[in-house]
Amino acid sequence: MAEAKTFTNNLLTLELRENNNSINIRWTGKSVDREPAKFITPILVDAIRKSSDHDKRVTLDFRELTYMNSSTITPIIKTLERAKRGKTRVTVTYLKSLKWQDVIFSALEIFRTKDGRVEIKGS
Amino acid sequence: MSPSRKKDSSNSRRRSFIKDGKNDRALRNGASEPFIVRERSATKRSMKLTLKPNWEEIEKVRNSSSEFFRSHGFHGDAVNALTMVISELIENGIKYGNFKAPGNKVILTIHIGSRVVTVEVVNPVDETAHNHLKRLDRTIQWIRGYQDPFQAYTERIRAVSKKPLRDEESGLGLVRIAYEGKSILDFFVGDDNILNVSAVSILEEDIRR
Repeated sequence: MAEAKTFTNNLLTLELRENNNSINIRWTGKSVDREPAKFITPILVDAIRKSSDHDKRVTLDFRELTYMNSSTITPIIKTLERAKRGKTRVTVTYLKSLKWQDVIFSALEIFRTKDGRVEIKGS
Repeated sequence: MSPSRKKDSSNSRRRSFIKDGKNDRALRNGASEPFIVRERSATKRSMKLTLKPNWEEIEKVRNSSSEFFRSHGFHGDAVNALTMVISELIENGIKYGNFKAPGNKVILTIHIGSRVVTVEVVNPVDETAHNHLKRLDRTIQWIRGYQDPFQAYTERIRAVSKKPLRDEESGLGLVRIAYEGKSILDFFVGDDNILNVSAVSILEEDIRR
C-alpha cells in the first residue's frame, strides 16, 4: 500500500511516496534557503534508514526542481556517499534537457556503483 | 585588512565600472526601500541593484536578473547559469559581509559586454571576515590550478560528501560558479574594507536565443 507525505519549506516541496518496493522523493520548486540541510537532511536520513530496514530503493527525483543553491547540493552528496559506502539502493533522476540539471547531476556519476546499487539517471 | 588582492591594473575595462566610488556611497548611505533598482545604463547593457542584506532579497534579485538577461535575448540555459552565479555571490556577500551599520548594503552590478558578462558583488567587510577572505583567496587560487573546472568541482564534491552530516558548510558555491557558470573569479578588498568579488563569463556564440 502506497503512503504519501509532503514536506514544504519556503519554496521547496519534497513529496515522499513509499510502497512495498520503493521510496520516491519528488523535489519541486526551488531550494534557496540559507541552511537547506536543516530541512532536507532529516527527510533523506529517514528515507535511507527505511530503505536499509526494508530493502527498498530510494529514488530522488529532481526533474521538477527549478533551482537549488549550492548549500542544497551538500546533503544530497552526503547521502549518496553514505549510500555508496553502505548497502542502500539509491537512484537519482534528473532532466537531461535542462542544462543546469545535466551539468550538476551528471557530475554525481562519481557516486555511481558498478553493481547499479547507486545510479544516476538523466532522462 | 589582509589578505587583500588589488585590482588588476591591466584590465582597464573592468576597472572602469567597478571602482567609481558610487558603490561605496551607496553601501554607506543605504535607502529606505527594501530593494531598489539603482541604475540601468543608457545602453541598458549594465544594471546595478542595491539590496538590504536580507536572505529574502536574493530571490527578488534572481527574478530581476533573469528578466534583464532575457531582455537581452539570452536563452534559458544561459539565464539559469548567470542567475546562479549572481545568487551564489550574493549569498556569500550576505553571509560574510559587515552589516552592523544600518545603511550597509550589498551592491550587484551586471555588465553585458560584446564577449563577456561581468557580475560583481560588493559589500563591506570587517575583521571578522578575515577567515572568509583567506578561504576565498585560497579557493580561487585552487580553482585556477585546474585546467578544467569540472575536475575541481568533482574533487570538491568528493571532499564535501565525506564530511559529517551535521557539518553544513559546503564550500561548493565558488567552484560551482567556475564550473556551471563557466566564470573566472576574482576579488579584491579596497582600503575602505569594501569587498568586491567578480565573475566574468565568456559568452558562447549560441548564448542568445
